[in-house]
Amino acid sequence: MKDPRKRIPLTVKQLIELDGCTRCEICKDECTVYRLAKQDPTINFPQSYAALIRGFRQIFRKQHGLMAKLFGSGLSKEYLNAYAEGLFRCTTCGRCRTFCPIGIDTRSLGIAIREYFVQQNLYPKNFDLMKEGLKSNYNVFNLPYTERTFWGDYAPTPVNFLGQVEQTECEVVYFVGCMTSYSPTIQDIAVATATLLDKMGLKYICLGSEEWCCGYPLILAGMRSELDWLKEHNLERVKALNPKIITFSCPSCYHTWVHEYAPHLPGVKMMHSSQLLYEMIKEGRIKPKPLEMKVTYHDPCDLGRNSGVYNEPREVINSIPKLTFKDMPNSRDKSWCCGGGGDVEMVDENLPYKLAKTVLDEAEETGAEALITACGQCKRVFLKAVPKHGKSLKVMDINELVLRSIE
Amino acid sequence: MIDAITIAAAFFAAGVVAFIIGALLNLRLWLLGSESIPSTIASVIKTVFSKQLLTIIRTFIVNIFGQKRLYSVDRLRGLEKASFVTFYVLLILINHILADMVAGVSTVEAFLYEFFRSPFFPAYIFEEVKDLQTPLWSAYFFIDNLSMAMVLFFAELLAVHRRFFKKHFEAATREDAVLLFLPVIWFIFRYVAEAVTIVKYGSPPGSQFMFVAYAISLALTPLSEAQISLLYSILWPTAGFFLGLFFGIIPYTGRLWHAFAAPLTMLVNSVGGERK
Repeated sequence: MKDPRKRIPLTVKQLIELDGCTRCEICKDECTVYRLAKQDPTINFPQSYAALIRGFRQIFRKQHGLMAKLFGSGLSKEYLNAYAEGLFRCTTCGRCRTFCPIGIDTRSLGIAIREYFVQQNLYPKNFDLMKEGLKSNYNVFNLPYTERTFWGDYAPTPVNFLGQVEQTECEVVYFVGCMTSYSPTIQDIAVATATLLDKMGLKYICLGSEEWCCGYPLILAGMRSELDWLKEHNLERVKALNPKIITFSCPSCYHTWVHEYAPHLPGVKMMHSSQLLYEMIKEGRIKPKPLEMKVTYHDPCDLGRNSGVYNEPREVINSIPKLTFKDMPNSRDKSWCCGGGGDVEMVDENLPYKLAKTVLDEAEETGAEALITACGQCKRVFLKAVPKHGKSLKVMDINELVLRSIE
Repeated sequence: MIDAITIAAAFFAAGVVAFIIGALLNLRLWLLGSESIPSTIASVIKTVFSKQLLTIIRTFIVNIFGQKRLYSVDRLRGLEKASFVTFYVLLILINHILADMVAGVSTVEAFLYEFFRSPFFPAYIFEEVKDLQTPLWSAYFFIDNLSMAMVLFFAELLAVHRRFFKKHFEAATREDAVLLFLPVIWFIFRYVAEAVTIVKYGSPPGSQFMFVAYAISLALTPLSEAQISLLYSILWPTAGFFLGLFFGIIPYTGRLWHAFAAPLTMLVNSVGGERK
């Protein structure tokens, strides 16, 4: 093993990918941030993801090539800062990966490049606030960790929080996630998910104030190396409950648990709540009632493109009688990002709401009255973007939709 | 006096040396990745000697030669690149294989000698092959000229169209333009050199299958024997110079190095495991 302090965070495969970019510029037209930056020059973003790769290739060569060994890199701090500014505006949605003719795993590459910049102490300083929040209160907002259970006050039946209920058997652990636990506009998702778990007759537990951030924001920030202590805590709590299933209403938590935690939990099934709903509907444990509504579905990046879950949410939606469903022109692996990915909100707080317009326009095009998603962050961004762009779409999470159909 | 083909081969050899040095420098950068060098080598060996080899072969055919992914995004560009890659490889292979066959290569030394000489095979084929009136040689002549025409058309004309007319191509630079035209210059010199060779050997039977060079040769017939000999001794080394220059600078510029790194990326990603 190489000395971790000197370790370059890019793999051999990623260094080959840097050289492999053919400069075809196809990713340019498929990038939601670039399309916006083209209209709004105040947004500092490179010409395309390919330009981001090319820029880093040059930086890497100047810092590690033979000439650098002899004469130094010759790269100014200003140059590196300007590059980093663009790098951290990428939403890491991975849409460019779908279109890349040679299949560069742009998302992983982008995160690895972020890690490289974090090693050089070149990252948005707001990330330090996030880290502070995680250290003090185990959530990205730095809100008191004891308040993680407050959303339970809105639930129609008491929520099974760890330590608050006597439960000898636990079939399912519901991992709520920071965003859904704390953000008032989307706490309804946690309420709906817990209510559905109850209605499905599953013995579930929420970790409550013992639930710590899964660490996904750290991964996106390029700080994967600081993830371990959060992971160890969450694993310890979950292992003690010995569940069969861990479910998530947050696709980012789901993605992180599947990739970072699952190897430590053999035999435990990781399911996004839409997958669990699909199973339960199939087994007849819940029966959706007719709901006259025209809806469309937004594939959250971390659930669809990054985790490959496309069908189950659609099956769940289509299982509701009398509901009319129509996909947007860009759906599944081609779906646009809501704008809330990649920690971009910490870099440019208004950027996500501007980016969301692309999805809202396409949703409106389908004639839907409601935009259904399966992600708290997507819902949060859309809810704020709808009035900003003068739209009249309702925004709902898939758990809320199903709950509404069975009530 | 050193003959024209030896000079041309020397230029190409210099290009190959420059290529090897540059490629090793690039390889050094790749191996700076987070994995250790022995584990990287071990995983390559493990992959090659496993069922994944079939995936690699499939990727090679479907994605590198067939350009399936590009075709699914942009049909014209997919067709352009698939044709360009296929004809380029065909041009290289056909010259190397047939030159080796004619020379009756049986030793490593002979193989290396032919390796550097064979890009200029049409320059000495009339000298070394007595009976060219066979379907094999007709096919070779035709494929040689067709491959260059296809590469010129698909790689160059369409690239020029795409970069300079169809789109506002922000990434276009002087370096980009120079690199784009290097193979054009090499091929043009090669076509004219082939035409001069046809005239030099008195339009031997079968040479009409080199349809581009043959057409050019018709315009060269009024030239004297001395003028043709002079052109032969200038044009082949010039073609060799541009081939050597083109090949030699490949690893030193990302715009050309991707020709090797992109297929490798496709192969690595085809067996690269789960994306995170």
